[in-house]
Amino acid sequence: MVLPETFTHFARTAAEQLRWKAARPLVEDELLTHLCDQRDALMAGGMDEAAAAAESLRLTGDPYEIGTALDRVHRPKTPKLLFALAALIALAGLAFTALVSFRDYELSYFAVHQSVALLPGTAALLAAYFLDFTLLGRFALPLALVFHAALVLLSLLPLGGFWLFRYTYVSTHILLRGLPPLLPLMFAVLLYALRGRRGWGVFAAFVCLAVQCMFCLRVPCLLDLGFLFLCDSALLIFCARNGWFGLGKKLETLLTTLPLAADIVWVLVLGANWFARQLAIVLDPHSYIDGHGYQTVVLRELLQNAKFIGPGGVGPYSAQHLARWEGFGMVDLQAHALTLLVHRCGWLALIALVTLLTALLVLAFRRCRRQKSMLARLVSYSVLLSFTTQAAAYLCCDLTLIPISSGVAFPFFTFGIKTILLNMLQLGFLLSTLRVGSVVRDKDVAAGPVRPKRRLRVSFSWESA
Amino acid sequence: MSMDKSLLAGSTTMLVLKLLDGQDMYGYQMIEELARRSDHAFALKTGTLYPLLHSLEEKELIISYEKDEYAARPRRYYHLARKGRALLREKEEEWTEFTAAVDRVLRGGGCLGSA
Repeated sequence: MVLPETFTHFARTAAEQLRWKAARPLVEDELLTHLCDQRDALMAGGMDEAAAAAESLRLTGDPYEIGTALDRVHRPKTPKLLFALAALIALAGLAFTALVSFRDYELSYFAVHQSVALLPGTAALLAAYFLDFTLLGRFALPLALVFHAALVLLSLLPLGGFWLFRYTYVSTHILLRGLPPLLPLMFAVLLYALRGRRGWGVFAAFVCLAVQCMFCLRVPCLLDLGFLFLCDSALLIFCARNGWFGLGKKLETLLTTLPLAADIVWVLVLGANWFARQLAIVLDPHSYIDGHGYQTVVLRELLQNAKFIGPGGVGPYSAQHLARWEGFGMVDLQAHALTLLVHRCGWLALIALVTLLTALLVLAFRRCRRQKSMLARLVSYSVLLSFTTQAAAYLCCDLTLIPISSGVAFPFFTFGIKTILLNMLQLGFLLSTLRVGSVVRDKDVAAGPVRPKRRLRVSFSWESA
Repeated sequence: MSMDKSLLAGSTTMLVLKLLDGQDMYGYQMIEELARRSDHAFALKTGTLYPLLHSLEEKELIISYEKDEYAARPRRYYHLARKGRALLREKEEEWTEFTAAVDRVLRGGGCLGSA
C-alpha cells in the first residue's frame, strides 16, 4: 500500500522536534509504522483508505507534542566514566614516564615526547568520538579495500629501510611498527562491508585476514601476529554466528571455524619445536642465559626483588644490566614498562593500573552488548579485543610468562607516539558507539547522516499603483 | 462512565510492563491490547506511549528489536527485560497494597488500634 504524504510529513515533523539528530530516523520510522498499523486496522473495520488515513492521523495526535515528549527522552550519552578511566591511565603513563626520565636521564626526553604524543592522541580521540563510528560504515567497502591494498604495498617495502629524496632515510620497521593494533578495527569494517555477499564474502574475509597476517609477519613480531589472528578470528566467527554473509548461521560457522582451526593446528604442528623451546626458556631461563633466556632472567630478578610499595632491589644479572644501560635503556622503557613500574614503584602500582584498565574494558564491554546495529557491535568488539589482547600480551611479556618482547603497547600507558595515537583513535570510535549506538541501525548507516532540510522560501509581492 | 485521567497517570508504567509480560508487542498493538483488556476504559495516547517505551528502554527495563513479519514495514517490538520483570512484580505488590487500602477507606473501615 502507498504511504500517504501526510504520514511522512507527520512523522518527519515529530522527528524534527528531537534536538539529537541521530535519534530522528528511529523515531520517524516507528511513528510511520504506527500510523500505517492504525490505518490498516481502521480499514479492516470497514473504512475506506483515505478516511482511515485521516482518522489515523487524528487519533495519533499532535506531532509537535509527541516530538517534544520524545526529545526529553533522547539525549546523547557521554560515557564520562570511561573517559575518566582512560584519562587516568594516560596520566599515570605520563607521570611514570616523567619519573623515569627525570631520574635516569639528564634530559626529560621521554616525558616531553609522551606529553607531545598525548596532544594529537587527544585530538584523534575527539575527532573519532564526534565524527562517530557511522562514518566507518558509510564508506566501509572503499575504506577496507584501500586500507588492505595499502597494507599489501607497505609489505612490499624493502626490509630495513630506504632513502627518500636521497637525504631522508625511512626505517621500514619504525614506519610499520605501530599499525598492527589498528588491524582488527579495519577487519571489522571490512566484515561490515561484506554483509550478504555469501560465499564471496567469506572468501574475501579470509583473503584480507591473510593480507593482515602477512603484514604482521613482515613487521615482524610473532606476538602481533598472534594477537591479530585471535582478534580477527573472533570477529569472523561472531559474524558467521549471526549469519552475516547470508549463507545461514550453521554453514557460515562451519565455513569459518574449520579453516581457522586448521590454521591453528598447522601453526602448532609446524612450530612445535619453537613453542617447546619458549616453554623451556620460561621454565628455566638460566639454562639459556647466553641467548634468549637473558632477558627473562633480568626481568624476573627485578620482579622477584620488587616490593609491594616503593622501589625494589636488583639481582646479579639485573644489576649488571642496569649498570651497562646507565639506568634502564630506551628499548626497555618501551618494551618492558610494566616490569620497570613494578621495580620502581612496587606491585601496588601495577595492580592499580591493571585494575583501571580492566574496569575500563569490562564497563565498555557490558555497555557494548546492548548495541543494536551490527556496525556498532563490530567496531566496539574489535577495539575491545584489540585493547584486551594488547594488554594481555604486554602483561605476559613483562611478567616473564612469555620469553619474547611484546610488539604492542599497554593501552594508553606505554611510551610511543604511534601507539598512543592509534589507541586513542580506536578509543574515540569505541566511545562513539556508546554515545550514539543505542539509536543507530544498520539501515540508517547506509542512508547517511541526518541533515536538516534547507528550504528556500522565495516570495514575490508587488503593489498596484 | 468517563474516568479521571489522573488515575491512570501513575500506573501507566505498570500497565505497559504488564502488557509485555508474556508476549512481545509493538506500539500500536499495545494501545489496542490495553483498550481491549480494560473494556476501552483506558486509551493510551501515542504521545504518552512512545516516550514511555523509549525511556523504559533507556533504563534497560525493556528491550526493543525490529521484526519483519507480514507487515509492509518492519515493526519495532518490545520485550520485557529481567530488570523490568522485577520492577513489575514490585509495582504489582505496591498496587495491591494501595487498592486494598483505598478499598478499606471506601468501605468505611478504620484502624481498630487507633486512639
